Amino acid sequence: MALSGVEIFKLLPKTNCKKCGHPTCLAFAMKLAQRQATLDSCPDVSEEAKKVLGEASAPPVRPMTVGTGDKAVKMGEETVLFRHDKKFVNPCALAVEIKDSLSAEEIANIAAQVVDSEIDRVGQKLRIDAIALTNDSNDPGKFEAAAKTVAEKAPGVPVILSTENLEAAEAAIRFFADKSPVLYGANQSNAEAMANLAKKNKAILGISANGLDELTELSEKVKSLGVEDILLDSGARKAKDIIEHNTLLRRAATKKNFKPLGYPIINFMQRDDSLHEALIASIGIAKYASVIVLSSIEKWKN
Amino acid sequence: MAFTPTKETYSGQVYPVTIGIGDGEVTLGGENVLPFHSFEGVLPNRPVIAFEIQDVPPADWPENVRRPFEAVSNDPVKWAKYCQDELKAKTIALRLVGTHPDRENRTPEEASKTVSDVLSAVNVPLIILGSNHSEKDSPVLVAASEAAKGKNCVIGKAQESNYKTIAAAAMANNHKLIAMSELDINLSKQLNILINQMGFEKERIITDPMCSALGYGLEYTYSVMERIRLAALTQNDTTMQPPMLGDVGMYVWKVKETQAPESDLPQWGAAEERGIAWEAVTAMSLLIAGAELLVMRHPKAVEAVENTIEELMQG
Ligand code: B12
Ligand code: SF4
Repeated sequence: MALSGVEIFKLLPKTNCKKCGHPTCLAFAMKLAQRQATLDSCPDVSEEAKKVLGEASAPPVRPMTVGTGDKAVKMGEETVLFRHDKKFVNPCALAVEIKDSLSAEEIANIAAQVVDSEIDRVGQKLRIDAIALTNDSNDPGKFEAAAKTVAEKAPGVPVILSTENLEAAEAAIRFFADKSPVLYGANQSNAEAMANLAKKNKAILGISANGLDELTELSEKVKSLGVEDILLDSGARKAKDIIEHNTLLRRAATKKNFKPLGYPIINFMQRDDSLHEALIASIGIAKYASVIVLSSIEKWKN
Repeated sequence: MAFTPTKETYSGQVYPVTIGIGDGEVTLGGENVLPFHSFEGVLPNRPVIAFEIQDVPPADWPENVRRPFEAVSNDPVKWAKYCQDELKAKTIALRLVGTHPDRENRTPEEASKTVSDVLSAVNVPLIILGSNHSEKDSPVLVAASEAAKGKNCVIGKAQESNYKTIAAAAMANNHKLIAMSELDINLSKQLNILINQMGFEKERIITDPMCSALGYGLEYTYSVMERIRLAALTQNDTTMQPPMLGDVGMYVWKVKETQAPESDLPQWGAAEERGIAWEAVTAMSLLIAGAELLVMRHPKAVEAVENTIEELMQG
């Protein structure tokens, strides 16, 4: 829960030494409460205070970065429900699905398209931000081979590995060991093993549940196993549920500072009809998704 | 920690506005929640999409959106019937663009004849729009209102510079009225108040906060609409409770992305699909922001938006 200025003040040294650039500790505390100053400006603050304040002042939606290098994508950090209240911090990332059941050639082709997808629009660089490799075959060997192709053909592109199969996950993740990938597919039955694998590989763990109660439980479970960076999938697939779940998730995070759901959201938008898919995607983009997974990348989509 | 959903209770409600007559009647608005938030309130009416037609052939429309209407667009009556009978339009928006002094400069009498002809050919409600020339729109929309007397049409658009005559005509002939201002919540509120002060009921207004296309300031329109809807629902601001219009087609089919052929810009992909997607995505975004009525052009864009509305309402 966010602390008030007075609550913060109680944790400061109360010497009014002015080293933070503010006339008094109280003035500094007020700025902190309004998120207009950061704690590191005060050199004398105690470790204890740092810990309490650090937790309280963390943005309600945990910041994290998928991928490394120039193509890394930032997510989270959001603080509001409506963009006119302040602003939305990180734009929703677009990921295209590659199924491991495709031929090596098809996989290489899509990977190359993603690399080439960048267009320049009045100074803004727009592109497909990530690849979501899905273990459609449920065959660890195929998933591994596909992961290898993606790593070779689209180096530097952030990757989401989507599988519930631990063996497949282990086989594939080694190609992205230092690349901050997302490992998506932790659920009630495999949470522990997936959490360990994510930790070992410094991956963001994507958890998938059936509804918001189960999602809360699962999030607490993987957190207790030591996972810090989590991506939430409530299981919503239909437009109506996507709006409902995403809205309730963002409210829980920003209005209640409810930690188990204070993470970015991933939505799966794949549809047979690509125009319909684009419209569902536009709903996700407007309503709180941090990453959306699409099945195809017609050029007009980005 | 158990999860408890944070539900909102809203103090206000969007006015339900009924347009048209008899079995063609359509109602928009009426909800007491943010768009498609059916998990915490009621949405009695789905948003309505009107097909746009014109009093003169659409020489100014890009080819990809002209083509679906090629066989009918030389005659507004045929065009209207085609939209109603073949495309199953629930509403039609007739834009009297030919009255603009820089276009065919058609007279108010000619415009009123077109309105009568179209009205006698179709059963669905008619939205009658001027050419957006604020001086010329006054006499044109006065004549059109009279020609449409008793048909419960929507007349538009009344702006700060011409609202008095247009609102008076809509009032005298028992129509609904579109009040348009330029992308500013305060201007929009002020215009609704001014119109209301003339004796025109708030419950008969439709607010147009001005549309913009994807990539051309859509986020301005989005935020203005969202703020208007929040003022209506959370602050119970009655001047902000009329349903909102997004005049999508006209803004979208003007931008470069809906016109440039693939041969010029290969990295942008097929022009026709791109244009349709541009219109549909703009429309969808405005529905999410709070629009209850859209004016659109391409049948495939309308179809896709209708399907998505269905998914948003029914799940
Ligand atoms: C150039 C300009 C225009 C040009 C170019 C617009 C375009 N789409 O290409 C023209 C003359 C067409 C124009 C029209 C309008 N404009 Co203008 N315009 C400006 C101006 C002077 C500079 C913007 C700019 O080019 N900045 C430099 C570029 C590189 O930065 P940018 O922010 O990315 O600019 C883009 C957007 O600003 C956008 N844009 C420009 N104007 C408008 C207006 C609106 C409402 C929207 C949605 C987008 C938009 O187009 C620019 C180029 O892509 C600003 C004032 C200012 N100094 O900021 C007003 C301004 C943005 N316009 C404004 C207005 C009101 C309008 C009109 C509604 C006026 C009218 N009566 O019709 C129309 C709406 C057009 C539309 N829907 O796109 C207002 C917006 C106020 C508000 N409440 O948000 C501003 C702030 C001026 C003012 N203080 O009144 N505009
Ligand atoms: S630097 Fe720290 S101790 Fe000194 S006035 Fe600022 S808050 Fe107080």
